[in-house]
Amino acid sequence: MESLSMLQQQQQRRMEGEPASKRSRLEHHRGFSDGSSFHMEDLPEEIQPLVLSLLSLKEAASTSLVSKNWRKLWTRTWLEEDNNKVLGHVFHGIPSISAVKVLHVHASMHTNYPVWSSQVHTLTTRPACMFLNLRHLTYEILFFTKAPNRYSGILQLSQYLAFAPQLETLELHMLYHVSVSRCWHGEGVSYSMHRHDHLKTVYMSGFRCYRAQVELLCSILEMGAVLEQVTIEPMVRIPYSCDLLNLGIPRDKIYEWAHRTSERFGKVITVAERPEQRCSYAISVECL
Amino acid sequence: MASAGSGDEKAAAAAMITLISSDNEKFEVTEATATLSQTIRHMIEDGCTDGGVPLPNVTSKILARVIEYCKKHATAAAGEEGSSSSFSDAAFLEVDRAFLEELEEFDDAFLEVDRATLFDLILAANYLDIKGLLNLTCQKVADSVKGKTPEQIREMYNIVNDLTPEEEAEIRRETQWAFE
Repeated sequence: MESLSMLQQQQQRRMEGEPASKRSRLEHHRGFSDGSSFHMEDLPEEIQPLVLSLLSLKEAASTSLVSKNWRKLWTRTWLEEDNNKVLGHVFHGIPSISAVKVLHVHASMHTNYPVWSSQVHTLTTRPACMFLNLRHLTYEILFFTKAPNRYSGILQLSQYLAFAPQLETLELHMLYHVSVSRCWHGEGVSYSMHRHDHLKTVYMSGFRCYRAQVELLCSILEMGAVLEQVTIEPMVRIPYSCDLLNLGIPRDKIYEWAHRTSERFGKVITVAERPEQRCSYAISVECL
Repeated sequence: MASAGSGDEKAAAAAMITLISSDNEKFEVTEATATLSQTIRHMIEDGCTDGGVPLPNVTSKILARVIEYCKKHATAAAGEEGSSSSFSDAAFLEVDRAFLEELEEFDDAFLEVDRATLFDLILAANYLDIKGLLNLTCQKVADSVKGKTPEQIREMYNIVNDLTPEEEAEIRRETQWAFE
């Protein structure tokens, strides 16, 4: 417990203390400035994977033959890409479980680099009948990311919901390892999702209006044909040093967003509130 | 904002922010323009912009370009954040589309710079946390290696191939699917 909160503090310090380009300040104006040479390593470390991610997978892979540094970059980016697929594992990585009606999944997503919507991993083939009978899906997801608004990993879910056509209840419990981060200011653009004809209840905890959360929920609001109950809860409900993670929740912004989005889609979004000080195992179990 | 003002724009113009480049040049911009940068947005929210915002990482030449970008895109962001209630949806989409096309043309022209400038723009966009500009400039770098063989990339950027033949063979084996 102690080491965990220390980790968090470190992470927070890293977030707040260092501007994104502290490193680049030192490396500024090396190479490149003469206009003739360019080394990927002249760009700040966090930018390099971004450049690579804007190429197709094939093109990005073939850059690994340029030099040792390019190879390293590719390996790093590829691992991140792979991590971004973690949610999909359930849908294509395990043997057929077509009889299952209730499924509880726990996933951790680690990323230090921005991942854009265009990179969201999509499945090309639909696993036939695999989740044909699934009615209740619970996802518990831990995010290890420096910039929650830049990370779009959970958007994969909007597509995977098509594989569970009978799904009635979706519970999503999220925990971002960033204790203070801002709500996303943009309007939620709904992401490509198929119409869903059975999803009735959606519950998301740890909802802080981060970009991917907003976009995922907007997709569901738009494409869920029979939605009855949509609830978001700002508090983190995963029993994991909650106290720290539930400090400084921008409640007014979340309420405002819920109100605005309710009107936009003509569907009620309830913001759930529970006593803040008692975030313990007991309460978490109750809400799961 | 250069365009003739409505009431909104006048209100925005009232809140001006001064940005100070590394070579001490001062730039007055509207808050709407400045807040395209998340870094500056946070500074404004924390109330530490009195007396100007020093940007020791950004030269006046680059800052001028960044501001040019932000001015153009601030209008788009304002549309995105504000409610569209005064327009019917269809009308709003129509306005949107025309504006987006104009924005695209602007972006294309904006990227007509030499490599050194492009590089500096990336660093500035990263430091100031302007996602749109960062994506745009990185795309330009990505486009420059698109469709090129490793040999062509090396040639273009004066990169020495320091891979041993064994390593090369290994990479080819690992990523065989990419070279088919």
